[in-house]
Amino acid sequence: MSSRITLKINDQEVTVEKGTRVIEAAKLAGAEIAHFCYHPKLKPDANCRMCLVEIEKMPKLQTSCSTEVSEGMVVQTASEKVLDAQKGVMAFLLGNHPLDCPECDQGGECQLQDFAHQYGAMTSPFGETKRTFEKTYFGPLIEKEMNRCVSCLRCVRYCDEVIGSNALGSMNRGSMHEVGAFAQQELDCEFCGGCIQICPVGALTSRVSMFDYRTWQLKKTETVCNYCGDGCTLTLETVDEDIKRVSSETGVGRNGGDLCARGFFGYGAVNHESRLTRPRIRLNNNDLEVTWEWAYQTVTDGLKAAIQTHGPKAVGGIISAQCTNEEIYLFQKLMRESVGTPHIDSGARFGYINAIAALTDVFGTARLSRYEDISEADCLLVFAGDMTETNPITALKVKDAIRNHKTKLFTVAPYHRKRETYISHLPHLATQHTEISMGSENAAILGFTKAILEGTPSPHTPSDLFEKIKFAVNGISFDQIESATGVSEQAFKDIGAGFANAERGLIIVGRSILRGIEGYQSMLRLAELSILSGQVGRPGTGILALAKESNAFGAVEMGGTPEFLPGFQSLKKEERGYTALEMIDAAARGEIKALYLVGENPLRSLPQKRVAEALKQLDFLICQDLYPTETTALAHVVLPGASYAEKSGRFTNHEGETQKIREAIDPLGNAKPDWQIFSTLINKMKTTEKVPYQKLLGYASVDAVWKEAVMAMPQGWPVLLGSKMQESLAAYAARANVTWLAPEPFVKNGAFDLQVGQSLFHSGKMSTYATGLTTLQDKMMVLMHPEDAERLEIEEEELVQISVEGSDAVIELPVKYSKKLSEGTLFISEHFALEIKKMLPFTTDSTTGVPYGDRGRVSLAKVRVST
Amino acid sequence: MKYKALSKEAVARIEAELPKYPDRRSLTLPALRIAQEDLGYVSEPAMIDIAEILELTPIQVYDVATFYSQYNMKPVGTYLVQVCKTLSCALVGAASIVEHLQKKLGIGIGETTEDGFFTLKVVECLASCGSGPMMQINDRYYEQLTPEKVDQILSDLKEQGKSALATGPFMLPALQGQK
Ligand code: SF4
Ligand code: SF4
Ligand code: SF4
Ligand code: FES
Ligand code: FES
Repeated sequence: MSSRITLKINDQEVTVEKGTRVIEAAKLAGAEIAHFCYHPKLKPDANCRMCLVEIEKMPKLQTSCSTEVSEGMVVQTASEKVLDAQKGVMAFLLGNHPLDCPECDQGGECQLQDFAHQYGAMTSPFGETKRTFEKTYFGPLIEKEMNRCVSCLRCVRYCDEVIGSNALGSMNRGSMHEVGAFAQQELDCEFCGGCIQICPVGALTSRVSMFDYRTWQLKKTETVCNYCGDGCTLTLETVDEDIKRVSSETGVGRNGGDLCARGFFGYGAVNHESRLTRPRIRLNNNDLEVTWEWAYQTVTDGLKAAIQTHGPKAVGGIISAQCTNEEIYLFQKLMRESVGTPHIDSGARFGYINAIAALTDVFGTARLSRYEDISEADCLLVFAGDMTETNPITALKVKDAIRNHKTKLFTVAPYHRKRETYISHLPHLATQHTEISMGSENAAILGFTKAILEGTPSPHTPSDLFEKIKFAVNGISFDQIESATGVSEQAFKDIGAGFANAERGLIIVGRSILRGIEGYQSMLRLAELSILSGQVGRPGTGILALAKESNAFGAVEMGGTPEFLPGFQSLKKEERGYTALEMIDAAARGEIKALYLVGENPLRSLPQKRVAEALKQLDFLICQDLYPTETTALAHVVLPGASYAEKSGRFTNHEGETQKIREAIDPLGNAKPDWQIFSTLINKMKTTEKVPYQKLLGYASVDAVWKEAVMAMPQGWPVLLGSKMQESLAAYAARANVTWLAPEPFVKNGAFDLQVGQSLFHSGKMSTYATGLTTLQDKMMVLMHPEDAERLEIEEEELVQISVEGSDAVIELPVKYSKKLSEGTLFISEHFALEIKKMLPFTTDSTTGVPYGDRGRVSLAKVRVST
Repeated sequence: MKYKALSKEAVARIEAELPKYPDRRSLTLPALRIAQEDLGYVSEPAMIDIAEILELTPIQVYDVATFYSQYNMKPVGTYLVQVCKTLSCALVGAASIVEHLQKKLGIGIGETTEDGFFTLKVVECLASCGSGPMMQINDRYYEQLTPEKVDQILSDLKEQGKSALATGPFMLPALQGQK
């Protein structure tokens, strides 16, 4: 229903969509109108008066940023009257401006500079003293220089309308108007950096790179962030081999130009001084720096020796899901073809495999939903109460849907509805939030399944599947479900009906399910829920599983797990190799003798004692990494890999969208892009007396690797949900083994339920090398609800002792209050949480072997300090 | 949830207003007024309380509070003296009244006397332009001021707690039961 409107701008006709604003139409007509407060991401505010234009039949000049086009409109953007008005506005702005461009980081890309050149008068009638603001410390990351502010409020509006942090305000008025935080305090917020980027002048700038560059020196490289599975496009801006800052362009990329703190402030990890920069080998207990040639030879010799003595299956490899598609493809090729072992796994094992394996089992593909589907949906059912922290930009898509597309949001999570003061929280924005007991996600899925089954199930549900679900649910009562989840039958029925009856309903799942107990089964049950609701296979429907790593999806697609060859070719049980933890256990048994770890540190990610014992048994341990870790310390060979900023390749985000990353700087020191290392090793492994390795051609570029990888996928690439869905569904319905057990009641016993999870300011370990991020958080803290704290008379920052039920180990941590937590629960972010993770109970998924060790019952006590 | 600054009564009054407004945020102005009546000024903890009640962030409340001169961001004396400085009053000598008040009270604009009785502010038009110069002390108007009248008003207030020179309340509805 596109209604087009034709108007005349500076005597030129343009036809635009109804609802377009004059300033945008003018741009299409080639007339850029000067502006400050207008920004395409924001609602019109028309506060700066810079964008005035003359419109025929209107008595006064109009603000083109807020005026919508209408049929037959005749607009002049550069008449004498207009220029005069703009000069006037400029005179007011420049009258108060310090004109300190030479020392302003915005210099060269400042809208005030640009427009002053175009519209400013050379002299000013302004004879009064300029206003001056005392400089106030605005925190470690953002510099506030209010003398430069033009009061356009873009920053405040961005923080409100887009991010929802609502951390900035507009204070006082008239010439003493300024923006800032509550009561002139330090800024506390999500630190997305958006206000810095959207400020048209140098009033808000980054302190992380203050005075470090002049804007025209910067070389820009567009690439993709590696801190989570959202797949945000960002631009690395560099001088020589130094990343000076990160920026993003409005409208560009899956993120549309928005970033989170990790993307914007996290670049410091790349050039960190502790990076590994030279290959090392351990020779007779000496740690030697060696040439690449020597290191390659040592690796090849070590692998060949293991194969010769113990057979190829004595070798295993685990690669990080932050490596590129090309790297993961080559690594699995090195393992499967050059070595001949089936034992290959990746970081996708830490939860994401549960989603991919279950969804491909049911639908034949895991590419079910994209960001566009979030905006198109009428109803979102979200099992990711921590989405702002884990996947901030996908959370923005959800916020945008509820604000601008009237989408209903149902959240289900072991969190309160309340938010932390300055961090947005989806349950807070939900149409209805269901606060469940910690660990009862599965029972909640059961509740919704039962409600929809007894309500209005989709007539398109395959009848055999319908019968199986009905049979499995039979005999379980809502009372039982309520005793596990704390949620009433009515709530399940209301939300279930709301979701199933919506025209387009979409499910989003996060780590509470993917890394909860038996996540694979939960994902199957969720897939069945979406089928039962008729919410799959159309735009605005489906299931989006949130990935923690930038390439978790790609890791599986490229063959980086034992269950799939490239292109999700599922291997039969007996052909499959070991998962990461199974390799560790096999090493402990003496079955695996050589292990190749790329960007993986099992001493941190898996039960430490068990891993330490196993690693001791190995004959040969290769670690390829960016930083020294507990595991690299034990390695026989350490190879320095390159970070995402130093190499090219592709990441596939959790929508299944494959995007290019590009080399912005050379690898640090002697480090090498991981794909080049694998390429060389593949050739080295082929080398014989007759065919020396120098004679073998390596891959010319990552594109050559990519081509080969795609060729290796018999179903073609990418596999989308298409006509095959029905076929796949029917097959699943026929073989499905739907089981539901009556859920265990949730018993409170005065102890706390602890969850270890992700912080908004960190991603795994890498981010802890970025000073931009460590200034926000650099230590382990335990979050607790203020009322629990009050009851126990615990102040913020006070030390408490935490011990896990059934273990004597005790750790001491400072407390931070958190309003979003349910009473009786605690939260610790994982990035600094090695000690606590050692204490928590550990299990693995019965199907996928995904390790679970993020939750536990703990007791908490005040530490009595004697003074 | 416990509140840091507002009395139980003030919280109850704010909550009682909720049904009259389309959403919580619209209640920011009345909530600030109630807080000011409760505490004499809008303190930082009071704004945090209001944010909690209205499900806003504290800066969203602070933003609004700093825009209006009617909210006292600092504690004020028992009597808040606000003199109009806008054109009509300025033409008939508002400046000399302000000067007189400063001398008489021994304080500058925005300050409070040591005994805590008087705070002096100058404000924009109070809509009594026909009878300037004028000032508002707490909820009452005092119009067509002269230095002598001002002296009388100040001593009345200090000694008796009220002054017969108060004019109005023709511009203001009677404010019963409020300070
Ligand atoms: S950096 Fe903070 S204040 Fe700025 S827009 Fe982001 S959340 Fe808001
Ligand atoms: S700080 Fe920048 S974005 Fe914010 S109001 Fe001032 S000029 Fe506009
Ligand atoms: S961490 Fe995730 S959400 Fe943040 S910028 Fe990077 S990809 Fe985007
Ligand atoms: S850009 Fe239109 S008024 Fe500011
Ligand atoms: S000008 Fe003083 S009351 Fe209006």
